[in-house]
Amino acid sequence: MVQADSEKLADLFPALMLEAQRLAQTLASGFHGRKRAGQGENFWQHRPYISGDSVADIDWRQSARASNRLYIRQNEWESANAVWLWRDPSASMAYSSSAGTNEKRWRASVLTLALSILLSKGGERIGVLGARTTNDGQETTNESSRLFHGRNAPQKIIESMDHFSKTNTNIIPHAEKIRPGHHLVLVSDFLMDSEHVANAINFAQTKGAKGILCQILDRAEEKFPYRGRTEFLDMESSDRLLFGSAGSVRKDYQRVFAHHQESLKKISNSTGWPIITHFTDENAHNALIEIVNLLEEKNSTLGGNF
Amino acid sequence: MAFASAISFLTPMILLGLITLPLIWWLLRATPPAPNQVRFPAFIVLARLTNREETPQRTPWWLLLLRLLLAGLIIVALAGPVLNAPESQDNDGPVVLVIDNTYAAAPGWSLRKTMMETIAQETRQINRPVFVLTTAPSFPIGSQTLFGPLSAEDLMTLAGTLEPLSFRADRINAQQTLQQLDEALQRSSDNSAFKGEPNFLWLNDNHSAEDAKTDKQFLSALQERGQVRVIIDTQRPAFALTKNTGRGEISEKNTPETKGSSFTIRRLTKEDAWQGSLVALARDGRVLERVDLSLGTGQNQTQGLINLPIALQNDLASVRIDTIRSSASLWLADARDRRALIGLLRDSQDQSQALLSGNHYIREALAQFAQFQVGTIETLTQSDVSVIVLNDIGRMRDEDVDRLTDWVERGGVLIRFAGPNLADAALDAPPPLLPIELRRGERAFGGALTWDTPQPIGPFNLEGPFADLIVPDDIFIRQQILAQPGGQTSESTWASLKDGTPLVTGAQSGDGLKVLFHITATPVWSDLPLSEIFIDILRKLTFLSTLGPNTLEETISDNNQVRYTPLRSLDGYGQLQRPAPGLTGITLAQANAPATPQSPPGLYGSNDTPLVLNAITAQESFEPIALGPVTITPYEEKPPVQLWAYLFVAAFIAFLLDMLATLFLGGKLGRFGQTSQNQESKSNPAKKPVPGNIAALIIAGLMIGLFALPDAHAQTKTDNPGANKTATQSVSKTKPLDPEIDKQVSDATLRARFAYVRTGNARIDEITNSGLTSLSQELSRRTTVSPAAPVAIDILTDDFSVYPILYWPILAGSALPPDHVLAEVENYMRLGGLVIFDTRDEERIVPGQETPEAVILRKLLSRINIPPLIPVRANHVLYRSYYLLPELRGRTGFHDVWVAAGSSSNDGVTSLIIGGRDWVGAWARNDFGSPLRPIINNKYSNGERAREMAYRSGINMAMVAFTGNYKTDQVHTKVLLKRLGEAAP
Repeated sequence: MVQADSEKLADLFPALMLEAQRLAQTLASGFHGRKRAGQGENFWQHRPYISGDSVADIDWRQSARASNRLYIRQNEWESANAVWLWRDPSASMAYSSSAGTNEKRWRASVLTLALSILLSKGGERIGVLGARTTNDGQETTNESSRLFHGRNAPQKIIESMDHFSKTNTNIIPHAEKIRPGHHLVLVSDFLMDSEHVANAINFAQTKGAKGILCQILDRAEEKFPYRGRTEFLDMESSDRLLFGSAGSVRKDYQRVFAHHQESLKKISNSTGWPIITHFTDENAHNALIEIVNLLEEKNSTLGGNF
Repeated sequence: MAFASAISFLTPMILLGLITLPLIWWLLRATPPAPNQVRFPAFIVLARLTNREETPQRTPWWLLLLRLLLAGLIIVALAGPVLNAPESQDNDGPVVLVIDNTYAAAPGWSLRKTMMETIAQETRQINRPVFVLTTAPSFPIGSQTLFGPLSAEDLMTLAGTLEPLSFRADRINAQQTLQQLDEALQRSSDNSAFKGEPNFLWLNDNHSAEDAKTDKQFLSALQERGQVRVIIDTQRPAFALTKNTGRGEISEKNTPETKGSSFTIRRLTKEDAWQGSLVALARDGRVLERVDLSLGTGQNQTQGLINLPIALQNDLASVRIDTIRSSASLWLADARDRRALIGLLRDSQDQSQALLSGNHYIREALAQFAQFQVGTIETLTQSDVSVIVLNDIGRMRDEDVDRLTDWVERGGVLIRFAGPNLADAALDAPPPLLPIELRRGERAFGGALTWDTPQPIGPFNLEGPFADLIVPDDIFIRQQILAQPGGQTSESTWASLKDGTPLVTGAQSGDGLKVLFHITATPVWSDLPLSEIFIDILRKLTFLSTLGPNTLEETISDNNQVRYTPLRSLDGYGQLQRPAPGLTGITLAQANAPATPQSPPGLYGSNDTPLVLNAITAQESFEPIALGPVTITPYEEKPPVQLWAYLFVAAFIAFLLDMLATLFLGGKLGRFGQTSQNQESKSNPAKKPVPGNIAALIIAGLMIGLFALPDAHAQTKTDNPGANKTATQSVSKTKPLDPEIDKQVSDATLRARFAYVRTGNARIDEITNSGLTSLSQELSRRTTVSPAAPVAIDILTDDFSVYPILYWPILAGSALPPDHVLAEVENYMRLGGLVIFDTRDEERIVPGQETPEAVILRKLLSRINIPPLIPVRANHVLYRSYYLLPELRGRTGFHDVWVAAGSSSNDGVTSLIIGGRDWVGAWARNDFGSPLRPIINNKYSNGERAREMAYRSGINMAMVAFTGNYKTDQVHTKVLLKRLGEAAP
């Protein structure tokens, strides 16, 4: 079973990674580092040698060009933020209303992964909330992973994100490892009790973390395009509901759905965690831009924290 | 029992099931269709909805209708509907089928078959006994003509096996068989429920067998016994084809110029106009001629003329009326009908005074059945004439005598006519090549100085070939040549005068026959050449020769009772079959008489010269039957069709539609046939129901295809297989003798140019083209040869025979050309072409291993007949033909180049050069003159020098191709000069 799962994973990882990379590429140029000299890998500037600098830091080639001057090669300063990502693993995410659009879960994974690529390029440390970690062969879920950074971070993310796990729980995990200044990005359809969402945010806020909610929805969930005698099955339980004429309850459905969205908005406003609603039939690019902008905005406004 | 319409039901009670349809309607309406099941993530929202409307939707009306249709179809199908069901017999007696299984019934035999099958189906249900009486003579003799009582299955089997015979009906005999039928009916009525009068069903062939009286008697014999229905085939009437005897028609139609055979075509009906054709077939099945025929309304007889070229006349095997399958409409050619080729000596009076020439009378007599060849004895004996007529030839050169003797010994028939010359010759010495010895001088009757009156012809010798001819009494002989009397003479005398002196004598000689007419061929000595009997006599003699001289002896010795064994028999359809066992064969007399079961129509005797007995002769009547006041019904063309299969198929389709509709209503159809609304049910992309549905549809379609076509129409299709067969054998289109010359080929012949084999690899072809172009340029620059641009050849299709050099780059893994192409290559080499096989692989050669190109080349050469090969060594003409070279430099130059060894073929000029040196690679240059491929140094040359040497090698090869062994002599110049010098004083 595990074997089969992992093989399936191996098949889909490259596709997932590829799409995420492609998506990330559209933004990569605009997502820069800290623009300060410091510890980092990228060249920042040359500056004249002053006494005290390490001889090893002298850029001999550059220095040879000028007479009587020694130059030090400086790299860009990169400080790592920490962003915790959570992608809703629940079964209700595995849904797409038509063959042409992606599953919500796929879109969520792509967005999460693209974000992790961008973040790791920016030198941020990233981790996964509720990751599956393997310790001595024993799987424990609902544990946050450790924080990764560097080029391999997205790879690690994709492994611990466990794209294909389907739990029937709709619970936002409480991450114990959250430290003040960390960021949370929660990617889910948030088709759950709004109370629960509020609780989760409150917990993180008490830990001093900031965050963004990214709601992935299918258009059918908003429009409710069903007609006729229809029986609806819950994707996370065996509950079912029979409607004699689904078309006639559409108005009611849309009203209740709008109400749910409204309550999420309220939570967002009251906690200061912005919420982005993204439909799977839209371009993922826009959602990613929004998330990145929000993150950068927070960085710059709260930059002092880092 | 039956509906008023054409549809009837086998078990109509089941139709009561239709009453249940309203019940089904009500039940179906009450049950709603299954709901759409949809997996939905926003369930939490739905759970909060308060008003849930759960009233069931009703089944759509069209689905209800479909299901009712389905049920109705099944009920109706179970009731067993039959289309075109026969009207049932009111009488409850047994059924007696009287079937005319004659050649006249053959064209429409399938109608009889259908009829029998119909009756079999009809009687199957009620177990009514059926009797079958066939009216054609029992054939093979002793076989059954009365069948019964038969069950439905037996009748079906009989319908499958009973075939028309190649005879006319024998109703007298059939009438006698009716007494057996009476007994059989009696027996069967004892243990059967059907005790009533028998119902007679006469499947008539519309052909009056003997005369109207016999037919009527037979009918009344039937009517005495029970109710009679006569069914007459008017749709497919029979035709009779007979050949007119030559003489009968000659006065009306056949002017002496038209030498064809005329045929009479008769038919039994004359109501409709008819179009058809007469087809003459050769023994091997070729169509020799096709003559259009037409019969207007009210016309029941016409003539057709088959006029074949002389060369084809003896090939004629049969003439048939196209599209009519009956042995009566087939005429088989007899060996007696073949036209013999008769040789005549050139006669000075042939043209100018025809009536004085004996040849003229012979021609006139034999024109109907012979061709003539005029020539000398020498040419005639060498040609394939079967009869040579010597008209009054007395003296012959010894070598001519020898030739004729030889020819007669081989089997020819020599017919000589007497005359003054022969009489004169007999004065000196007994003339050679006569059946009897002659007495000197001729004998004249009735002249001024004679006391005898002209003599009539006496009786023919019963032992001789003219035994069956009627002796005319109005022919007088005025002059004759006499034979030496004696035993030999009287034995050889086939015809004599009233006084016993010989008129025609004949004797066997070797395989052949020598015949002497003791009179002239002109009417000077007798009336015979003007009489009919002259034709008959000559025809008999010719017949003897065409049948083969051997048969003569039998004919003579066996007193005309020789029997010819059956070779092939005609069936009713006019097809030749193996003869039935137990036939004793026929005599010649029987061959001329109408066919009987003892002598069935067909071929007799030897395969080469068969004797023919045709199904119908010109003397026999071919008239429609006249039965007087009796109701006559035509055949039902349409056999009854069992409809249940179709209905079940329809029900099955309805069932499939219902399934589709259910899927559609259940929303499980996905995008198939659905547009927008219900398709959100697909929550998992891996689960696609659509292909499954399509597969089900395909399977359903296949099943329908299997079911839907029962063999109802199978028979009508197989009705005339022979017709198409003959139609396809048309003569093939004649081609012009000189096919148009390919443009490319004609261009190539105007200027010398090189050709190369297109490999299909664009890069290699480009290099080859460029290399050969460069070589051509160098040739033009340095020599008087100025080739035009090289040509790429598709070895499979193009004609490369016109090019002096064929450059063949071998490509690894390329397919071998087919054998006929290789044969072309072989031919090309043998006729002076030069093929350069280049494997281009020297750089890659590893000792002990074959390169892929070498493998291909080896396979290629193993299938071409090539001379033995040797490597090119010093002083070979290739090194000398223009430049003096140490090697044939290519792009590389390490290994041997192979050429044909020795002087075995082509005057010692090699027809192939085999190497791996990539010469074209060395020659190839771009437009700016710079080389395309690097050249590899070897011990002889390097760099630019090597390039130059490569061009020189190419020029030398071209020179060898153009000049052949001319330059070979140059190799020996030194020696020659030396010798000349030595010889000089």
